[in-house]
Amino acid sequence: MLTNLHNISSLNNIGKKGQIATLLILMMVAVLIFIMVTVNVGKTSTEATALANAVDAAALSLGSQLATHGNVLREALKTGASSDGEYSEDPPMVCSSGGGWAPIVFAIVLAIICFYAFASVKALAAYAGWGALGGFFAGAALGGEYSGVGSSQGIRQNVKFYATIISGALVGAAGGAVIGVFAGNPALGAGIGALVGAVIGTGTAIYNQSVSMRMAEHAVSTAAKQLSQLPSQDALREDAFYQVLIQIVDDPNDIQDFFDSDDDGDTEEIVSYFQYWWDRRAEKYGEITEQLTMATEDFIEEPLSDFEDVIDTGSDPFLESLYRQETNGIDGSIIELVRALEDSGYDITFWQPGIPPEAPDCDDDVCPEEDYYDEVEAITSELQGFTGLVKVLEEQELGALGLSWHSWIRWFYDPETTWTPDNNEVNSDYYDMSENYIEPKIEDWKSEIEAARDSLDACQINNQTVTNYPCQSSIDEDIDDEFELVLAELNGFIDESEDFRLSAREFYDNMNSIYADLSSAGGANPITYTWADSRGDHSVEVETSSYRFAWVRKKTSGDSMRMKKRVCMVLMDYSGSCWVKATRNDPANKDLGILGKWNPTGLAGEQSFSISRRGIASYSYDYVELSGK
Amino acid sequence: MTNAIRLPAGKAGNTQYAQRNKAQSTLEITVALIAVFILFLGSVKIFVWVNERMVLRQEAYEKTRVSAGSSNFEVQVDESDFPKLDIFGENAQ
Repeated sequence: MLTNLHNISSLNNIGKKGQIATLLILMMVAVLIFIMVTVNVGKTSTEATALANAVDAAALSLGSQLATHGNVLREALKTGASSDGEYSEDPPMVCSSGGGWAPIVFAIVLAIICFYAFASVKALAAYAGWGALGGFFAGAALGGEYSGVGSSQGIRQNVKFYATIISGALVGAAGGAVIGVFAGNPALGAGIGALVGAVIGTGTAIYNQSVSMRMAEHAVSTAAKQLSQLPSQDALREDAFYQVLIQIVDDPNDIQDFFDSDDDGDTEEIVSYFQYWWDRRAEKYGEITEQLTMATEDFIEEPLSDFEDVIDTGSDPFLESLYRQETNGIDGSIIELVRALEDSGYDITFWQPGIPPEAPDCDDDVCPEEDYYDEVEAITSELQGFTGLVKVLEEQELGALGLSWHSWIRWFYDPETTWTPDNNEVNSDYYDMSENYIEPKIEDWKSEIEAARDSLDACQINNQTVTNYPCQSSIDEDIDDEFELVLAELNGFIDESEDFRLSAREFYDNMNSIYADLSSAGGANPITYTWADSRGDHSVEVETSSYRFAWVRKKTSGDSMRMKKRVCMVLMDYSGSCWVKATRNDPANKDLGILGKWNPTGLAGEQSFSISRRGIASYSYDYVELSGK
Repeated sequence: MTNAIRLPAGKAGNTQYAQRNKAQSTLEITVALIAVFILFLGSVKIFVWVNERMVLRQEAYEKTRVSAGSSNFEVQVDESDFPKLDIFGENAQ
């Protein structure tokens, strides 16, 4: 080696030909190493930029769709308020009195259901969007083109694009509402209008990203249709996954299109493996959606409907036992008992006789806290609200309820919120309300009735007639034991209520467990796509934050006995933040001989070279923007 | 007519020819070595400049991501502070 170097460097040997060539070859090796390192750094930089652009765009897309959903409900509140109610902002809510809230509940349920109900309409809207929104595509494609060159232009174009989507959705919602008003059904109009706007937005977003991957148009439209048929919450997440993956995955593998992933009728063509894989995932999701719909049907038709029968529409409804003659003209069995106890001088704390004084009205847009005359009225009000909601839900198509289950189940069970009487927030679900208020209160009623019974004298019966009523087993002349009857009713209701709320929780857990089937198709969240090529094994993992759809809660105030009952439908979760994170794993420390290593990590034996980026979007019903990374 | 140098014949002539040839080769190799060195130095400088710039551009891009994704659509990366390509030290202060 030293001799060779001496031969090269010694001027004594310069008479030999080819010495400079040797030097040049050595230098070329060094230059090749430089080039290799530069390419490595450049590719890493490009991939990091592509990841950042993809997650930022996906986070904005997710945020914009959540914002759109919030705006749809806001429009539904507005249009619902137009008939009988007062609309106010910050937070958006509509208050109504004297029973005028039923149309508002209907409008809201319809808005939630309509948003995701018409899968075929959505698919058509997505197709229609292609022709009608060519200008959108130009900007979107520009964003896609820029996204790979390491410039912030790409994300800026995407931001503009998604801003346009939001505008489209908002215009759609507003336009639909206007049309709906003229058609006599403003809520339906708002729902459908926003639906079209949002779906066009989704469709165009997919088209944009797919252009950069040069996927066949048929494959894009098929993916759009598949996404539109997913449950609402899942559709948004899958849309984000899809957008990120098609920008990041550069899997060169192809496969025969056995299952016609692009829906063009050709099962012998060769398509990209990613396209095939995504189609298989969508197929798996289709099976899951069917299971969700079946589980929804089981829940609606049995525990929900059965409990509604127990409360209101069955043969011996609980609400009837709470009737009071001051408002209903007749006392129910429970009120009849407690009225007799009151009349005999026993002070019942959960019920008051007589007609209460007039309740204070709402002060401008601010409704006062709930102010019930007594506990019986408070619980009656809660149960009436429950049954009103169930009746509206029962009128909806089961398939639509299955697709929107994430939304409406929160009225009955929401593990992310906890309500107690001490923490009287507006976001209560029936589970919390029942467990922390209704059931304990009714237990208290039982205790009070039992204590009152024990304080009475034993009954004296003469000729099948009670002579000293009220006494321990009767409140009137006949020998029927009203105490036992009422206690049995109260016990029965507590059992039924507990059964229902546990069923609601079980339903929620079962629905989520159904998603475990996705483990064979990349996973539910995060999703992982893996492939192997000549460079080695690669994977891309994409994860989204949990997010909450905008949501409407009922907040009551005043009380119905005094005809000043106020019901405020308050828009919840219409603003917030969400994030999308993507991690790309490529082979690390790949040996390139004299040129060194590809993707060196400095740690011997490390197999994976990872790049990770996250985009955080903030949104409200009228804006969306990146707020972090 | 040619301008070729006519060397004396014999051993002395061969020696003189070899010496002249060696001198010529020395000059040529010196120039070639300088050229190769400059080429190599240039390659190193370009290598460093390209990679440094890529890293700086990446950093600058990451810094503008959030503002580019907000309502401020006119975010521009300021490249004025980025290093210039300076192979021969012509931009040295």
